[in-house]
Amino acid sequence: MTDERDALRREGIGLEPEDLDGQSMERLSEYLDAGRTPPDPAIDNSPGCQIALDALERLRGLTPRLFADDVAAEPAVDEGWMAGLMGLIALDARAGRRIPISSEFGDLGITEGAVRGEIRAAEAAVPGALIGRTRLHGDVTVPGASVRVALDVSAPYGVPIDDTVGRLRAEVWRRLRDHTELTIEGIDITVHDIHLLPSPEEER
Amino acid sequence: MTREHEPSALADADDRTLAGRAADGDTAAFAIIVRRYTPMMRAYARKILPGGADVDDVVQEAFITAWQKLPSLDDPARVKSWLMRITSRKAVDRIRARRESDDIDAVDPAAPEVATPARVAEARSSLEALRAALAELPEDQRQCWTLREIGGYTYEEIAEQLDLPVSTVRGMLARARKTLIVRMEQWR
Amino acid sequence: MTDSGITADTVAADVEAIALAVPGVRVLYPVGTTGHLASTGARLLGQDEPTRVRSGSGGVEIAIGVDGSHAAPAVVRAVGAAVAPLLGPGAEVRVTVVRIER
Repeated sequence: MTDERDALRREGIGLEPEDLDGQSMERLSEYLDAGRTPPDPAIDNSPGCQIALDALERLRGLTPRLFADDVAAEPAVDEGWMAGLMGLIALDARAGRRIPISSEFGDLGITEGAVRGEIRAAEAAVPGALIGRTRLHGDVTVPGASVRVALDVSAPYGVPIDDTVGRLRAEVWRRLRDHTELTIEGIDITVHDIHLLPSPEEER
Repeated sequence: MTREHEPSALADADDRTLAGRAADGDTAAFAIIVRRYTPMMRAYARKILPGGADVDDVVQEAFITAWQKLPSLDDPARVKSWLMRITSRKAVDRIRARRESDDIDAVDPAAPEVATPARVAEARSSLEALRAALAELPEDQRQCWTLREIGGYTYEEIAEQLDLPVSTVRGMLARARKTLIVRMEQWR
Repeated sequence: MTDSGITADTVAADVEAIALAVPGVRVLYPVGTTGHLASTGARLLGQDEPTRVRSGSGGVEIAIGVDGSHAAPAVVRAVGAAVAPLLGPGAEVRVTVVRIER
């Protein structure tokens, strides 16, 4: 290590306290991590410290590329591993709350999970639209309770957003009316993203 | 609940859409998240785990936890950094479990598996020199460095994760960075 | 219809068949572990054959997938009406739609 230290010194870089006007690498390292705040004049005014901090910054600057290369070097997902993982999670239905359905015979209901799936299917009304998270706000377990629906949408580029939102809202309302007995107070749609549809060549 | 129809548009959907759907139970959306982020989580786990062993298991455990906890993720757009956090936690848990069962002090400075091994003398760039130097760091220094530089953890978070005093974390980071600078600047 | 000569398994098989015969019912799903009817000891996890008809205390519980072209409330009412006669008086039938199929 001493040979390397001498070689570094010849380049003008020193990492020992004698090179750093009494500061330690620990102090500089922490100063770097703190974003050099609060400012420390003893460090900021020391040429030796600034050289060492430059070297630390260079090191930090290489890290994203290093990691990106590592990520690229990893193989694609192993299908056997994938099947094992998906099998383990498949048992979790995410049914959510049970929404009652009126009847003379027995205790009938539909799960929140089934309703969410149906809301997502409403994206068919606007080709290219993608519905993300959906929420039913209100106590859906009480018959006749009024409910507000909220959903996230990634809208297709090229279609006026009002158009997309209006058509989706109408479609969601229709499906909820067909499959539940919920009283829908309103449907709140948040368009958080707009995406390009793949071109016909890319679709292949 | 069960696998749903997979529209081709879903494969390119943004993280917030996918994580939102997966939180609601769409396994097809979750599968796309798995494919999208597995390489990143593997590369990260590989730097934390000694010898790169158990990477497959650790990443699988991370995704099982992610599936279970997704509904509690307030901002689905942050799923990527959230997955990284879960990955490092699982990797550190795995190390702790192994250490407890092995009953030996893991003072292991040996080099772990590296995706593209390169000795400094053969390094074609400071990047390769850095990769080689990182691989040869003592395991605990490399873990601190990885959690800080790639995981973005604070000193306190690293200390809590690795069950070390903050002062030890500070010291390890400084020592690791010194070694890395020496090796990296040597190449220039 | 239920008397000492007919086993719980027979009733379960009948219930499954009757439910599947109702227009709009596409499939019976495994019944979840949360349900207010007492389970006969079957658990969903760790079982080779997941329970599609859970029975206990004279009642039954099933989970169905409904074809999207049929209105779910009408379908699930029809299932309730079809299954109830198979059970003794006072026995409860609990039917939950867990998926709208496409």
